[in-house]
Amino acid sequence: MYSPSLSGPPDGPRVAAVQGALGRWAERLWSGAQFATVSQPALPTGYPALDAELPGGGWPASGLTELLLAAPGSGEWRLLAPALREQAATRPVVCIAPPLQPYAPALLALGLPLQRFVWVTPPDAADAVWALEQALRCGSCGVALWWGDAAMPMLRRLHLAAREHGCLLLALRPLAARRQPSPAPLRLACSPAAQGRLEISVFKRRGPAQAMPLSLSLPPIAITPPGHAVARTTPALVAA
Amino acid sequence: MLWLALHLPWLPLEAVACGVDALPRCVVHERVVLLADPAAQAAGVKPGMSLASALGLLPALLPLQRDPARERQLLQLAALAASRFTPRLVLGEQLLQLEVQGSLRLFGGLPSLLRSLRRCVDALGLKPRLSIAPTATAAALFARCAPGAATTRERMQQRLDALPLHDSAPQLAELLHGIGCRTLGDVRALPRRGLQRRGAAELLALLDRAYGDAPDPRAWFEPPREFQQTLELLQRADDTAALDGAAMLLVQALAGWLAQQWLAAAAFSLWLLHESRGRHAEAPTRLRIALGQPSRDAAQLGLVLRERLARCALPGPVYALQLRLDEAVALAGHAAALPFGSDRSGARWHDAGQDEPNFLALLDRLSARLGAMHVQRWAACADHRPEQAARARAAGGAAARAVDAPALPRPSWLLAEPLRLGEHQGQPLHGGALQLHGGPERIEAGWFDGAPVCRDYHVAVGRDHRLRWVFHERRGARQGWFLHGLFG
Repeated sequence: MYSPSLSGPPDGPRVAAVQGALGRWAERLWSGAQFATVSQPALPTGYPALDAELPGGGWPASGLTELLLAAPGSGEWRLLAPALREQAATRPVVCIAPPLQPYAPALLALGLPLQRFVWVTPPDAADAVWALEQALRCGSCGVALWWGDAAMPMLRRLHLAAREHGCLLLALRPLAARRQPSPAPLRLACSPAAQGRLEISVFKRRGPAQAMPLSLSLPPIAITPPGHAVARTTPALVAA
Repeated sequence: MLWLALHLPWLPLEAVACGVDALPRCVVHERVVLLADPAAQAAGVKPGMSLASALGLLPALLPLQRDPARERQLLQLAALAASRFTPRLVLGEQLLQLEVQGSLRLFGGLPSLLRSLRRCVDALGLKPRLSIAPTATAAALFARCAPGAATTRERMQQRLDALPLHDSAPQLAELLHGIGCRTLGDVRALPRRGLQRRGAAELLALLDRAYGDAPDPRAWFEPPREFQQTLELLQRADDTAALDGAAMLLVQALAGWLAQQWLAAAAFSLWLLHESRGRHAEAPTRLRIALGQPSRDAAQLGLVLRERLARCALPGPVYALQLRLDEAVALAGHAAALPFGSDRSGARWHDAGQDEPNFLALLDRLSARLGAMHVQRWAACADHRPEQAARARAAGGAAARAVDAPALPRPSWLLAEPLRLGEHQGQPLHGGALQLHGGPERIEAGWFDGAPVCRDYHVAVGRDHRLRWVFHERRGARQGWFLHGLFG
């Protein structure tokens, strides 16, 4: 039965009226503005504005999730820290093929329990994928962070392994990967913006397309107070 | 008592045959066929035939020389591997007997014990005939003649009575056939005195032991005090894949030995003995494997060893392997993990108690293949210099002492080597001009250990809005601006 009231932009009262008219069929009816029902629990991201954009209200607890970044240092650690903190309290976290050396004091300052983080730096991409698959299949890792790339069949295989063993696999890939197809049910592109904000575009999710990118305010990093260094003889170049 | 007997009819062939071979094979002792594999038997080759007639029947037959020393060694390794099930083992002629009455509860009953035993024997590449009986002699007789289980005394007596004579007592079979005896039961019904006078005393003693009427003391198998087993390969190996079978055999034996001693391996070594080239004896290669989580699980030990073997490049052909246990720790048995089942939604049960050992096993596996340097944990150290304030250590090792997080800005990614930046009017450049925020934070330390730094650190924002940690070197030859980290 074609209903013209459903074809327009969804608005609350009209949808409610239609749903009332449909009676017991209403809960079986999916309207375009709803997120798909998520069967698995979600991990809150720690940012309510971002939770509202994600099906289930957080990172999926298992399976592949892609985070596309222009370059390392785009605010990814501050974005992921609340969820990682939560997960690392119960299950270990494996980080595979980080692009640079992680710096322990900063990660501790974000509240991450580093003794539960294991960093694997394989010599090449094939070993990285092998190590990742081993980590997923061992069944005891809560989160696997992976900086790398693989072909579609391998990504699907990793996604299934992560789903089966209840592990959140976060793949941090370059922005160029946006044009490539991926089996990940949730894909986000992040780019830093002015005033310490992070623009997040959720370009693939089980639900309606995102109208406009979300501008998320990340916790600011501590800035050294002026006059911290006792610089009686101020270096000429800094003063200049 | 409950005896489990494993008769190994194919042992002479298993000891000298390597891998799956397309050709029919037989084992030859003093030019007489001792044992023929099914393919050769199908062509009419029978044990007892001379080699010449066997080759006449089947020209493609591959005769293999019997090697009794290797058979003994294989049986010994099998005994070591099986000693995880019971400390009471007896070795015989192509026969391994286990007294398992005391192990039934530990292994969850007889069927479950048998399943584990079969898995263990399969891993050794042996094809046994299995039987169970309350006496050792009866179990051995059943294993040789009619494999099967008889766990109660009555059932055992019935089955013994029905055993045909020519299988169980071939020496006297003809004589007894002549007086109408076909089975052991028939012999037992004869008057004892008369039999004893007519030279069947040995058979009677055997029957008494089998039926449990006479004591049957046995010499138990004594495992070695220290584990060090050498296995010669049947063919010299040029690559590590060819070592796999022999290495796994040794690992099975090691796991069995460890279980029997209530130990778990913390470190073990596989020595690859090389063929000497000309006059120069090649030094053996040692693959040392240290485990983060001591283990005596054959699958886990085998997996780690396999990864390590795959990573190793052989300096020359290998003719033998030696497995030595370097370090062991006492380990009592622990409760078996709940089996992972699937519920209706297809999701797996998550067994939290199994997390830690699984994760440590993962670390061992990753370190074995990638090298311990590539599987690390990072920890903060108390030092003002940024390079020295974080240190990595092998993931399997002890945890580092906790250090408080600094209140000053620190980047989540650190460049291993500071990157020299261009300058424009005294301001640093990195993808455009950088705007400095706050600071400077002056770090001046290291004069005491020869790595002094003297820098002013700033947080800087670039045109792409990424935050960077830059410093200005104040002294020395390398004055100027450097990029040292990125805020993630």
